Order: sequence, then structure tokens, then C-alpha cells
Amino acid sequence: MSQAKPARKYVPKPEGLNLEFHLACLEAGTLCIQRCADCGLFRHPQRWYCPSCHSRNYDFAPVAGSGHIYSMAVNHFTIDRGWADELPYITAVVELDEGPRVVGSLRDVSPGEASLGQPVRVSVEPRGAEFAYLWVDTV
Amino acid sequence: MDISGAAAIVGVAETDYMRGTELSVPELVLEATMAAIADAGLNPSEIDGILPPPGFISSEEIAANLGADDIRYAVTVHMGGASPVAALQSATMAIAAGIATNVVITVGWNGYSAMRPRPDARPTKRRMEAGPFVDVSRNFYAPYGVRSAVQWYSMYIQRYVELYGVEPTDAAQVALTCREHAHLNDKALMGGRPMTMDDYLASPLITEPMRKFDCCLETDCAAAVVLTSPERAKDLPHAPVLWLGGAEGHPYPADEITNRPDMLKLGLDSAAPRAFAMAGVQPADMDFLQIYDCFTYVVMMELEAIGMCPKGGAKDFVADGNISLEGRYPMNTHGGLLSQGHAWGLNHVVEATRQLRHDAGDAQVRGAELGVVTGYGDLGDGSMAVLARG
Repeated sequence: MSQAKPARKYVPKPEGLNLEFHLACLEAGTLCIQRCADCGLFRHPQRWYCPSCHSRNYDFAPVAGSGHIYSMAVNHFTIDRGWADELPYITAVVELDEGPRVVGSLRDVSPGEASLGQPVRVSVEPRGAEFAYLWVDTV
Repeated sequence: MDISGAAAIVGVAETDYMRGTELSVPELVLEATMAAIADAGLNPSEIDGILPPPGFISSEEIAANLGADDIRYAVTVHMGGASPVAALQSATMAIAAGIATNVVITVGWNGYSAMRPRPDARPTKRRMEAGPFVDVSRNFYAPYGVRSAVQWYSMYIQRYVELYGVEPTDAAQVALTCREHAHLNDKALMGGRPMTMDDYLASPLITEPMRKFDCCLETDCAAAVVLTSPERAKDLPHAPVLWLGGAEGHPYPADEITNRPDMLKLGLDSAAPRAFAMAGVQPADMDFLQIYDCFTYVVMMELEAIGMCPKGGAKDFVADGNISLEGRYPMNTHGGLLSQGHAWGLNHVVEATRQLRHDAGDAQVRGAELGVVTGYGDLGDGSMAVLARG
């Protein structure tokens, strides 16, 4: 009897600015968001230029991860075998207090319990040495 | 330079809409292309402009099959399902500027078979080119189990239904109307397969609020259209269909959904007013609507974006019988992507052309003189064309 290999969840191999984001999060142990070093504007996903003042200077600033559910994908079907056992699962779009929105996994909440505007907190968990997985928890 | 009316659609064709075929995508694309050129009354070697699909087959390879040895304009539009209607604008620009005279736009794909290869099928390296947003999708959405169109779009549709109180029974009107119209179309995959509201409501949830019957059909197919100058069109067999105006629009940022200042603003919101202004007509002047219908809720957002109704008004617009064949604005008279088949919306251009030729059979909108076609793709890119009987 051959056994089907358990499908694993996809973990990207980040590069460039995106790798810098993940390494900053992993080193700080908390969510870090790219910030313009000249005008202070937070931005996500990572971009080379500040879209407001066009500076190329930036850093990755640790943030508390506090925010609210701005939107979500409530998934009852998936083409990704790595996620089939999780159904139904909720992928949350979190608007951080600093402004940018991040996408992460809302845990311990069932469909129907989650609502837009709900306060949440985003935390990071290492997936290998170069990827910071984002968890979303209600507060 | 005013390009309104500077080009006409003179040839259209589509393959069968199939779920499984032994034909490769290049064969499907070439079949549709040859048929559209024949419909235009042209010799394939007269083609001097090609806008191929993003992937599967190049303009160079198409030209080599056509014997078209003097290609003057070849460009690929990377807007997913918004590509074909945006390509109408690009083709018209090339014709108006005198760059090319006889331009073919074609798309095709193995939307069904790519996911379900036959056991005996030889592997192929020909595939769709990844969209411009693939980097963001791969890095920010896929790690969290979000990797298909229905999941991406649900991130704004969730907000749309909450903001305007849109119910599944509202979106159902779009699905049921497309299904009704499919029964009038010989090539529609869902022709002769009725759908009731109970059927719709019993279909399984995919990503909230979308159910299976809110989603378009995975299809193997191809389509093609040929444009030329209005002067050249006079010598060709069919009544020309004039491109009166059009536009493309891109949400900001176009490569990422979640950080848009207004997540409900689609590319079509900025494209539609420009397209109507160029055409010199109003939404209320339209005799029919061919709306890109990858998902029912996206259709509702598009109807608002093109100004058929105010923001949040689509649920009333589709419930009031406007969009049926007997309604004021018959919509997707071929069955659409939801019930005819999915040719990236180029099938909407084919159907609009047949309507304006008064050659749409049982689905003919009586006296059709003006119609709108929309495109929608990638992460909310939009395109639009106003077409007129010449």
C-alpha cells in the first residue's frame, strides 16, 4: 500500500526587499513595516521608492500589530492541497493602526463569528530562516 | 487625434466551448483566427497587425501560419480578462495612426484541461503567462491559502456586500439571466440545462459570498476578431461594427488588492467615463450590455462602474428585469462566461458584433444600434468599448 504524501503548505522563498521585510520581522520577533526614512510614511507591500516623497531611504519599523479586520476571504473550497484539511479557513486583511494593511491567517475563529471592523492583533512565527508567517488573533 | 470611429470590427469567430479537447491551445487559437479572417472576407496574408493572447502562442508563430509576411504591429496586452477589450483600443490606435490596416485580436486557452489533463495527454510547456501581479500574489496571498481568482476578489466583494447589503438572491439574478440566455445560443456549454433559484442557493459556497453558480465556467476554447479601417470595411461582406470609443483603467496599486485606498474602486470606474466621453454617448443610450462575468458580484460592481445605476444600485438594477432579453438593457445575450463559456471575454465582443450585425439569432435584441462591452481581469483591471452598427 502506497500512502499519499501529505501535502505541505507553500512557503515562499523571498528575495530583495521582501526578504528584508521577513528578516526584519524574524529578528525583531514582531511585525515590522517598511517606513520612509525621510517623510515617515509606512508602506506595504515593500516598494523601492516612497510613493509620496519618492525617497529611496527606508527602514523596517517594529509595530504593535494592532488593528482591525478590514476585509477577509472566508474559504470553503481550495485548490491548494496544503490547505484542504483546514477548511473552512479565514484569511484576514488587517488594517494596522499605522495605516498599511497586511494579510494573515485568522485563527480560532469560525466563519460567521468574524466580522469586519473586529479588533485584532498580528503576530509573527518563523517558517524556516527567511519567512515570517503572520497570525491574526482577535483581542 | 480623435480616434472615435477610426476602426471597425469586420470579422469574428469562436471555436466550440469545450470541457476537454484533443486540440492544443495553438490549434484552437489558429482555428478561431482563420475563421475570423474568413468571416471578414480577407486573405490571411493580408493581416498586418496581431494582438495575441498573453501566453500559449506568439504573434510571430501566428503570422507564420497565416503567411502574413509584413507584420507592422504586434503587441500583447497583459490585463488578464480585461485584455481583449483593451486590445480593441490598441488595435484602433494602430489603424487610426496608419501603422497597420488589418488587425487580428485572438485569445484561447485550456481553462478546463489545464487542471484536468487526460491521462494519455503529452505534457506541454505552452501555458498562460503569469500576470503582472504574480509576485505580490505569490509572496503575500498564497502563503495564507489564497491563490485563485475567487479568493482574491472576495477580499473586496466582502466589503461590497456588507456596505450595500447585497444578498445571494441579488447576485443570483445575474447567474439566472446568463443561464436563460445560454439556452438561446447554440454554442453555450449550459444551453438546455436550466437553473432555478433553488439550484443556485443549493450550490456550495466556494469563498464567501461566492457560491459555485456565482463562478464562470472553466473552458477550452478560442476566439478572434478582425478590425480594419471604416474605408476598407466598405468592401467587406458584413455590416461593419464601429469602435466608437473605449478605454482601459487600472486600480491603484494594480498589483496589490489590500492596500488600495478605496478597495471598491475598480479599473473600470476610471475607464468607463472616458470611454463614454470619447464615444459621445451615455449609458442610457445602450441597447445591450456585454459585461465581463467572471463572477456575478463582479458584474454588479461593473454595472455601477459604467454608470448603469448608482453605487450600491446594482442589486435593484438586476432585480428589476433590466438585464433579461425582454428588458431595457439585455445583458450577456450569449450566456456569458457564466453559462456560454470563458474566452477571456472576447466572446462578449463576438456576441456584441453579432447583435450589431443583427445576426444574433434567437438572442437578437431588436433594432440594436449601440452596445457596450466590458473587460475585467487580473486584480481588477478594467476595459470598455462602445460599439455601434456602422
